Amino acid sequence: MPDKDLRQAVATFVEQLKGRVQPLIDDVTALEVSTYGVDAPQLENVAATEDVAALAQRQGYTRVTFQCDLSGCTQTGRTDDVDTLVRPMHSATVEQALAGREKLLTVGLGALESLGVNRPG
Amino acid sequence: MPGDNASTDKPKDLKASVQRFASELANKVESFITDISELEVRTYTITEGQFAAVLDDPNKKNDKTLSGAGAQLRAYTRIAFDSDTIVCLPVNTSGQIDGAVWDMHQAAVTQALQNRATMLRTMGDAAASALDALKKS
Repeated sequence: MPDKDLRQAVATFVEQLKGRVQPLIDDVTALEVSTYGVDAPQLENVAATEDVAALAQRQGYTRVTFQCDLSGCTQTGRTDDVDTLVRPMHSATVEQALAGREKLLTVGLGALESLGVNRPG
Repeated sequence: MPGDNASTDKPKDLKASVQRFASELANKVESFITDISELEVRTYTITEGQFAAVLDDPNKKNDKTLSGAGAQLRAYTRIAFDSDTIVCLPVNTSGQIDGAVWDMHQAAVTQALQNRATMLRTMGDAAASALDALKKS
């Protein structure tokens, strides 16, 4: 029955989404941004590998930690280690990642609510 | 009366349509979170005159990456669902990064992030609406 199929699919969707959203609102979470400088001819190889660090030189690294509860997340710490060469690009990426994380968290929680699931906590 | 048939057929058609939509949606929903769990953005430059050769090859239409004479990967970003991010920027022999390419790449990443969030919201809304429609059909 399509009815049953959709219910099963949505149940799977909800469980997978909860599994993704939950770590974002656990008590202490962190965001990491790494920027690598790569010799131009090597970029294809670096992009194709899971372990980018094995093939490229990391030139920027930022780790932002958060304390989260059901009302939202507050930054509790930040570590930056960035070469001058990539600083503008790295900084822009960090801001983009922070905004993207907040947006995805809001949308994810909203999607769960629209499906009748209480906010995970 | 033709009108009588029409009045009894329409609800059946609607119910069948809702069930068909529900079935199609179910297929999409199940793999959706996996599909959006990692976002990759690749920015390429293509030598002038090579666009058709690179982009219109039917054998490569479904490839995740571009390849061929004249296509060069210029920037790459990988973003996990939790927003952990890896950016790879090519540096030339002088250690410089092409700022113009970077600006375009950054705009593409922003667009991709917005699209992912919009898709997630849309999928949640569609699933909720379809469940509701099934209850009523």
